[in-house]
Amino acid sequence: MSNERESLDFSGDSDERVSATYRELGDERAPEHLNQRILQRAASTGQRRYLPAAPWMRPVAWAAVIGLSLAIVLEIARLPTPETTAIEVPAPLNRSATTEARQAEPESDKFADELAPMGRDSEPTPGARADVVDESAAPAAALPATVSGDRQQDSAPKPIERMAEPATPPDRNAAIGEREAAEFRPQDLDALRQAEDFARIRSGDNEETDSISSRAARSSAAMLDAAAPGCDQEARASRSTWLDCIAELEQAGLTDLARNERETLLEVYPEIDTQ
Amino acid sequence: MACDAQSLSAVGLALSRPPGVAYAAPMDPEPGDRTLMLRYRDGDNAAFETLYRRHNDALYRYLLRLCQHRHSAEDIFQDVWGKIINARGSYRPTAKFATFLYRVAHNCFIDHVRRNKRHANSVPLDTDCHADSSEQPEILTERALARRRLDSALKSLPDEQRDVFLLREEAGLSLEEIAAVTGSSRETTKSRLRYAVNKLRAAIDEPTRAS
Repeated sequence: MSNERESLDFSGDSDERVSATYRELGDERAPEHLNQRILQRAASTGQRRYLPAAPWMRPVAWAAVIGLSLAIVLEIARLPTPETTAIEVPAPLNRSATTEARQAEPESDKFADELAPMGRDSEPTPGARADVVDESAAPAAALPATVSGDRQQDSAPKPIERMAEPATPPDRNAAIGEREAAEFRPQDLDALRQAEDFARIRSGDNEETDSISSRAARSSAAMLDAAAPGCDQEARASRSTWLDCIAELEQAGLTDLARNERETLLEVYPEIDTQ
Repeated sequence: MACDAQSLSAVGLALSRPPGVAYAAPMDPEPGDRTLMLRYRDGDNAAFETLYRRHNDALYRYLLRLCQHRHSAEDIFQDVWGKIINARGSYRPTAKFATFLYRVAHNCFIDHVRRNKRHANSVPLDTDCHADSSEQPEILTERALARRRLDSALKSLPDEQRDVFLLREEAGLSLEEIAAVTGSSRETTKSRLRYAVNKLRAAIDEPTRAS
């Protein structure tokens, strides 16, 4: 403190004189009624935090515990046992992709040829081929079936083969294809792309997969970075706008960013209780 | 033999001397502000009272001189302590408690000025409440005049300069702490303090120069 005073380049006497004269201005003290009021408030607020439980709280708490326990037990009792659980293979995500694949036999042949080195039979059955097509059309849907049953063995899951049966005549397929082509949406294109990626994954093209996944990760990270700039200067102009901005960040799921903003806010406005 | 006696006496002296043990520091009878605030956060109301008694008068004077209006100062004073009480849950002992306290006070004062545009209708403060009757009447008169001049010069200072000067005098904060409280840089703070002190010094020396 005294070093700082010297470093201010004041002449020490004058600075001391100003301080001494200021001290003589008056030694006002905080009024006692204010002191009492603030201390009472502090005491009441402090006690409120540690209030003992009200008499009615205990039975209510017990009732809540028992009720919740019963609800959990009943819910567990209603759950089906593993023996009775039917494994349901989810339907393909995109029927149009399946239809297109059915119409474009050479395409599916190509996929089948690509899958052949992985240990498939040299003569894939029509069902197996359609199975591949179904997988390529809906990787997310086909994945459980792939995990649950090994296609190289004869114990292939029946539902998949059933789905792959050419139950509809070609002219009907064509009609469906035309109708669904008219209803073609961008999501379908995405699904097709996913299917292609999945086929590549299955064919062992790991490097390409890695590049795809890393590209996706990079792009999503870039999107997150672009979408998470935090609160700008305008939002930080006042407490309320800043708090609003933090609330928006929290609602958007950017908790880390919101926490950083909250810490910065607390540094600027330490009196705010943001808890 | 003499040599032996000398060496023995040296050994004896060395033994009689207190060993160079780094004694543990005695227990601090008065806990620090941060400790008190943390204790209050954990429910110790006596800790808050100690903390409050330590800072209430200086804070009151700071607000009184800053506002130049007793009622406003009292309002802000209550507001500040209310916020300190409410913020006890989120209090983090990262900085000096005085910095935290005066930062809250500074923000409350800024809010008050914004709300009331201008803190007009100042009530003149009594500047002669500590006159020592044992001194010569001329000296007493001169000092009373100096106090009045300082008081009026303090009132005429810009808010920023007065704020910095009062934080220095009442809170005893360093330049860095004042900068943290006012949200300005150290150089700006230093410059404001220098201007304020120069003006106040000139106001005190005014009759000397005239004579």
